[in-house]
Amino acid sequence: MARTRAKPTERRGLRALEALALAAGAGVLIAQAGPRLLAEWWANPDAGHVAFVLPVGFFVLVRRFRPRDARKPMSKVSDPSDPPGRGVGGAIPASRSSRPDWASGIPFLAAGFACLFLDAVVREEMLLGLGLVLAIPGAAALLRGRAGLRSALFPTLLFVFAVPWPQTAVRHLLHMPLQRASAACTGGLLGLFGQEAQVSGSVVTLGTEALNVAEACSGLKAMTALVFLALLLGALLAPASGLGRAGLAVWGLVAAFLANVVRLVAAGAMLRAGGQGTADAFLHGSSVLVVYGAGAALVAGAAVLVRDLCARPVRARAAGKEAMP
Amino acid sequence: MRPGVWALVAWLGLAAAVGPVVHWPARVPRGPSLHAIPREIGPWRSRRAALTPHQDMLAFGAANLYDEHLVRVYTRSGAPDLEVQVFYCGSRRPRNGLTNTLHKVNCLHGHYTSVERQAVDLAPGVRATRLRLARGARASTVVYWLQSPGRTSAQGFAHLVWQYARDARRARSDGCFVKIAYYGPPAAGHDQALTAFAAQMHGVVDAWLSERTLPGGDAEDTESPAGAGTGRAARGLH
Repeated sequence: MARTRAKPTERRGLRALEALALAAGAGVLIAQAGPRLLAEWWANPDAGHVAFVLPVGFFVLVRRFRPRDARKPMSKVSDPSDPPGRGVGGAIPASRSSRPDWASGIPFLAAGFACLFLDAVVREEMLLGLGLVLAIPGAAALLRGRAGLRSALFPTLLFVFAVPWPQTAVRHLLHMPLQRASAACTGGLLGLFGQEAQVSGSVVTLGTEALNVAEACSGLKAMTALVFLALLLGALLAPASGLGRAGLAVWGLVAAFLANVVRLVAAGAMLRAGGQGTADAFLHGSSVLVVYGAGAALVAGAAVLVRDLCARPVRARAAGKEAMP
Repeated sequence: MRPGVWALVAWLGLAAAVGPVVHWPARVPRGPSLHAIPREIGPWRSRRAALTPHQDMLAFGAANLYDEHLVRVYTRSGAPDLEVQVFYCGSRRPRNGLTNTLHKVNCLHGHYTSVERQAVDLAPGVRATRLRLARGARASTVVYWLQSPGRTSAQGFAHLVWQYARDARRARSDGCFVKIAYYGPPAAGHDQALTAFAAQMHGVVDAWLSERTLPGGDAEDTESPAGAGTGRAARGLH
């Protein structure tokens, strides 16, 4: 029997039904998970960046799944050899959009389901967040095939920043080493500037005064924000290579650490010169903006450098093609 | 409908169902409160007042979220006054429950810092941590451990993982963070008295934990009492 093609109106109705079923399923899941995640983000002092991560993540996700002709180019420098789905605005050609990539999608969905199952057992918001995040590339692979999966990977990486990690683990594995390293570097730099500084654990003793690198001063928040910014800038600059983007993310870590140490050194100097009041006003006031501003400037500068370095071979290739008869 | 969409809708349905179907509430044992812990332990007698101001009590060790908290000072002649703090979490579910980190509220107000860390044995197979703290000229020595029925840990991270496993097996996952401190310069005699009292206190807490039992027995799932063990009744120290 000959296969009949659906009429455009029937096809539209079918698509609407699909969208409705997906929206209903996603709505129920989000209605269950949303309040728990919101409560967790609200209670976690390190989760302030989520208010920025979620909208940006959704913006990037939506931009990547818009048809190509419906968007404006995001970057002046574009690489014609860039595969679809790269860059913040990379979208998927319509011809590839209907073939699901089962081999890639099912593992992501299975991993996401495993996280949700474990969360149901032990009630851990990190697993809940990971389960939802892993579902994004899985869904993209099933709905838009391999190109969809590629497009979804970067937004998925951004959403990982919103996953609430257990505070006990964050404290032991991240805060404590960062506190000690920041204190050691601060003490060393103060010594270079002629200040007598003794470092013990996370405490820098300056004469009779002590500068204690507490959790809030470990620089972890700045690192989270600047690595996120570095990833975003790396994606915005289309010709940047994967290596360039990874390098930019690492530089985000380094820039945040350096900016935080400079802030602590300045606070130490103020502690000696002006006493606790002056140092306290600086450390917990204007210096926070200075750290983020200086770190963001360092990351932005590096991003422009990476873009220019990566654009050179592209331009050279283009010039070579033009010169060929 | 396209097969990919079918599969995704099925996944969403399963994912939405797994929480309500698989989830079970925290199993919180019930029993006497921490105030039932005896005021006389061997030759030691307790008095109500804490040794230090509140801010100093935060110097080391706090359970960020806990269901019960006990502070007492035990004294005996010829030994330093010992400040005892016991935090109890009814289950692993208050997710940041028991912790043993130095708790520093601010960078510049001169809090205690760890000078020396050492393991001490309270009994065969029961290990705690002894920490020397300093704040300028002031000094303090603390012995702490984390204690659940059947397990005592000197470090909080390992204990938390163990509690996760207990919770996953639907067993009780409650626990105490016990901290005993004396203030003043370290002295060998004081350390001996501290360790000996800590060993006695470990037994007392063990007995107290064994008095708390799951309502309905181990085989039955139980709802937690309002707020307890779920973090809802928990309070932060800062």
